[in-house]
Amino acid sequence: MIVEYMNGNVKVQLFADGTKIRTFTDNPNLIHPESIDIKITNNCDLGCAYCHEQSALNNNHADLSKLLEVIKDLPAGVELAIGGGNPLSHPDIVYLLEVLKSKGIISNITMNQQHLSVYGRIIKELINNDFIKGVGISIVNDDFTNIKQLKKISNNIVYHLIAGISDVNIIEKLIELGNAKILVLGYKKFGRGIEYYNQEVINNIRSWYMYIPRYFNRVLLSFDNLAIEQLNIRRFFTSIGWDRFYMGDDFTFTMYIDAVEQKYAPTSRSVDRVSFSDSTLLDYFQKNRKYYLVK
Amino acid sequence: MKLREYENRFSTGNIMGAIMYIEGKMSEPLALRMFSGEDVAWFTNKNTYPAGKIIMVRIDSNDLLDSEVTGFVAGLYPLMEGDVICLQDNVEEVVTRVKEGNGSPYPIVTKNGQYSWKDVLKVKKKGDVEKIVQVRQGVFETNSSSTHSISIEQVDSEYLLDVLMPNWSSDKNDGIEMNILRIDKNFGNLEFGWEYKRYYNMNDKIIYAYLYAIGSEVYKHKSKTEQIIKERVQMLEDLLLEHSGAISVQWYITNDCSKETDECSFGFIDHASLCRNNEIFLNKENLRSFLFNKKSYIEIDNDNDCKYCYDDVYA
Repeated sequence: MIVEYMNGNVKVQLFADGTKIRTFTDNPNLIHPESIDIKITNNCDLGCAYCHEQSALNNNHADLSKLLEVIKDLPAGVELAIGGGNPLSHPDIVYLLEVLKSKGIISNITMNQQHLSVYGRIIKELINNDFIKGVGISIVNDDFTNIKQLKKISNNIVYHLIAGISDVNIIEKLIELGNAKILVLGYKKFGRGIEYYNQEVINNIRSWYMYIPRYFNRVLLSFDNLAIEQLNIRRFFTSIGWDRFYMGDDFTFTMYIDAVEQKYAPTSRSVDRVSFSDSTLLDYFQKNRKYYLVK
Repeated sequence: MKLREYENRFSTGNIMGAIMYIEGKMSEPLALRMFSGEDVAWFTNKNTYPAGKIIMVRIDSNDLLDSEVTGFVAGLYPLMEGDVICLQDNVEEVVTRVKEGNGSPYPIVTKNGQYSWKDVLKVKKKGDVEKIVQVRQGVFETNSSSTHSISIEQVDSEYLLDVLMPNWSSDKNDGIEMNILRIDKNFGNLEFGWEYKRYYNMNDKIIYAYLYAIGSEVYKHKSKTEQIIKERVQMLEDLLLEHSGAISVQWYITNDCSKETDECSFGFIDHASLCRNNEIFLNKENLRSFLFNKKSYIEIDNDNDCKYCYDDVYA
């Protein structure tokens, strides 16, 4: 176990492979989010047609000093999922991660597979220095050369696939890499994802709906809330199973920060956002988080 | 006390745990476990409630009205002072009194008001401490646009339902992939006779449910038979489509041997098993559990040498 802490009436234990065990006896009364998704830049040179963050080349980076100020009250053990844009293009990314490590914050990062050739060396250094734990890689093709290199130094690589964009059968190839961990993301009709949404996307989501059960118990599979909804993942679980493995709706234990715009939000696709200047992070979370009713 | 006074509770099945005596039907009082709202009720021996063997009894509304409530069993119901009831909109209230046996349509009293049984969504018993454990398996939170909300690797059958993976018949129609769930003699067992056997296989259970739904002997009210068959087949098909992602279900099974063809096969359920298992069609969740829960099974037996010698069990 790498960390154990109490968050209000909830005990959280986090292990070296990323396993999290949350225990509580009544409706969770949290003091702070367990994890926060943070966008630190809008800059990205890939220009994906479906990018819900509408990232583009020469877009703005976040002022990380402002970010560090608003997250200063977070205790050790909280997880941050740092993304963008291309977060590795931020000039102060290493400084940010160094500070977070010193505070005991668990930093994870998301990047695109196509950036591995350019940023692979930096990522390796970040892993070797224990600045980051989990590395999420958005898979866009089946050339896994750089991924194989990265896997030699970390067991915490998570392949991100988007239902609606990725071919569900690519999971078969990822399994061949060994020790595959896969996160299936729902298709976000947000940002450029609104205009990109078409019949091909619909058909692709449908193929995910049908074929995803092939991979149960063959590979470590994760789903975000949007994928759970779009693929009706609940249909595969017993009530006991759902209660045990469903980690909660968005904004019950988690939240989102757009550090570029300096705003808080429930999720990255939420329209309702609150400026850093109007609230502290803890106040925002405690006053607005979604109510969670114990069954 | 006559059950007429409890009619509102029967309409929702919320009277679980009432000890009843049905004149002319039972030699001793039994605990009512469930009432379907149609014409079938399930009882359990009052001494072993709630874990006791379920006894299925066909009763109609007149039987119910002639029944007598002789008491309540301890356990989930009735509510006790200090229990917490969960109402709509996440409202929780502490029970201050339960008006047992007086026939009130609002038997549950809290300091804020009075409620009927159907107002209650959940009950937390006084003194219960529910420990919730939630697990994210084997991954750090790398999702920078939302969160890992389910993360599983190797999980037990206790947690995952069976997955419907039939042989898909794919076709193209205006660029949209067509997937049809074909259920025929190759899909599973067609004959549920009077041998001694258990069927855990999902495909067998699907065929069993279909044969059960279309078995006209099942239905007491002959005038409604056609409608009930239609509703149950629809419930079954809706569930199969939702679970599999197919766009239609095609049945190549008949329970009428005169309609058997090379393509459409004859299947049957022994008469001793018909009429007795409406519980699986009580609602969609019961049917889902029966079909897809790995622990649910059909137990085939016969009525030649004992009174209650078969059971269909769903987890």
